[in-house]
Amino acid sequence: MMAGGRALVAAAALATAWSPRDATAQVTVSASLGERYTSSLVRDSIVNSFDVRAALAPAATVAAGLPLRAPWTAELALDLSTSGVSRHDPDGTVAPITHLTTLAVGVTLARALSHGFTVRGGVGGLKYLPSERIGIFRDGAGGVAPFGQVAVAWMPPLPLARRFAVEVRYDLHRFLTPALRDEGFTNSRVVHRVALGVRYTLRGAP
Amino acid sequence: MTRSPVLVTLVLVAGCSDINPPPDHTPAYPFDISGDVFHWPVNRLPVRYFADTRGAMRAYVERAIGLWESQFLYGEFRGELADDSTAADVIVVWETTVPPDVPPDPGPPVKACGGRTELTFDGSGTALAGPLHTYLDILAGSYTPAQLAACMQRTVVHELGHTMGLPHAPDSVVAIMNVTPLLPAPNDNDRRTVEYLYHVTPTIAPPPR
Repeated sequence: MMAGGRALVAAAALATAWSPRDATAQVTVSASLGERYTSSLVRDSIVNSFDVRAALAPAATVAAGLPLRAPWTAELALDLSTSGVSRHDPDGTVAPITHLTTLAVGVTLARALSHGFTVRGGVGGLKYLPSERIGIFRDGAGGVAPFGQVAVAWMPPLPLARRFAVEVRYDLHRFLTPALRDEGFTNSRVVHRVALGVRYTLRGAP
Repeated sequence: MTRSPVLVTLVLVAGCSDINPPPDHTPAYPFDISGDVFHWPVNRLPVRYFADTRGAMRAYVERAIGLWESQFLYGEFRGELADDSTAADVIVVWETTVPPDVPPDPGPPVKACGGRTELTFDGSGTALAGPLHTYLDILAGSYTPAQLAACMQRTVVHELGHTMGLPHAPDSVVAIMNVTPLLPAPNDNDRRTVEYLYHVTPTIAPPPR
């Protein structure tokens, strides 16, 4: 949280170094669509060990960027993904639990590199939004989980594809729900997420 | 400079996890019936319950389904009310008289009613032949309608426990599955037992649909 706070302060300080008119003119807006893998949310053992996983999920992101001192850009990003969440037994049985949407808001710093590459790193908050209060979400999903994120994007050197970039995003956060705490889980579990997508710059310089 | 906060955050987020083993899931009372085990498999969920349309039975069954569903964390059991008894996995009806539909008495439990659940096996003896049937009845005695309603409400929860595969709990363990259920809802003993039951390989197959 402290590190996330420092990053936010740094981004805000850099962003406010610009006048509003300059800032508005230079804001870039981009959107990305892709697919996200999420590691196990829970691992438990009742007779046999099993885990609870979210399925591969479509992931959509909208980001507004403000160019800072070159080659840096500060971005505010909203990320949404949605999929079913199920228990996976060792014998292959898959028991659906509910449908899950994750909503994440983050602040990132992007740095343009050579050969069309851009790297991003950021922090934010992630909220699980289950469609029903059932199973591991029977007492709610818990609060907003802080997350850290890194990403690499590559713009192909093609004139027609100047606004497109292929992007891999990785983030991690910790997961624990009130129902799991009631069950006896004392520690949250680290959840890793990897998304592969295509980013398109809607407004401003790519 | 700007990369370090992100790295520190990633390390902080990654730390302190998966240190403890999973919690203890030991069942609180036996869940087998003379060595046999029954529960609904995942591919038969949600279990369809037809409730007598008279009186408060539908509300009792709906409440009981919700209470049992909430005992599970991992998608082991789901139930739903069925409108058509011919498409039901479990049929819950009044045995004789329909008790008045009044709010249940919140006072001490009174044994004003009884219930039973019948399972019919096929020729092999390892599978159920048809839907499970549950009957609720009023016991002879002098009770208020509210005491009777409270008894019916908790007995429906108890009988639905049987339809899920739970046998009676011994008197030494307080549970909704005691022969005479005195609790309004499943407790932690029931939760641990039914949770464990639904991870054991059953020896009795459900009835065909």
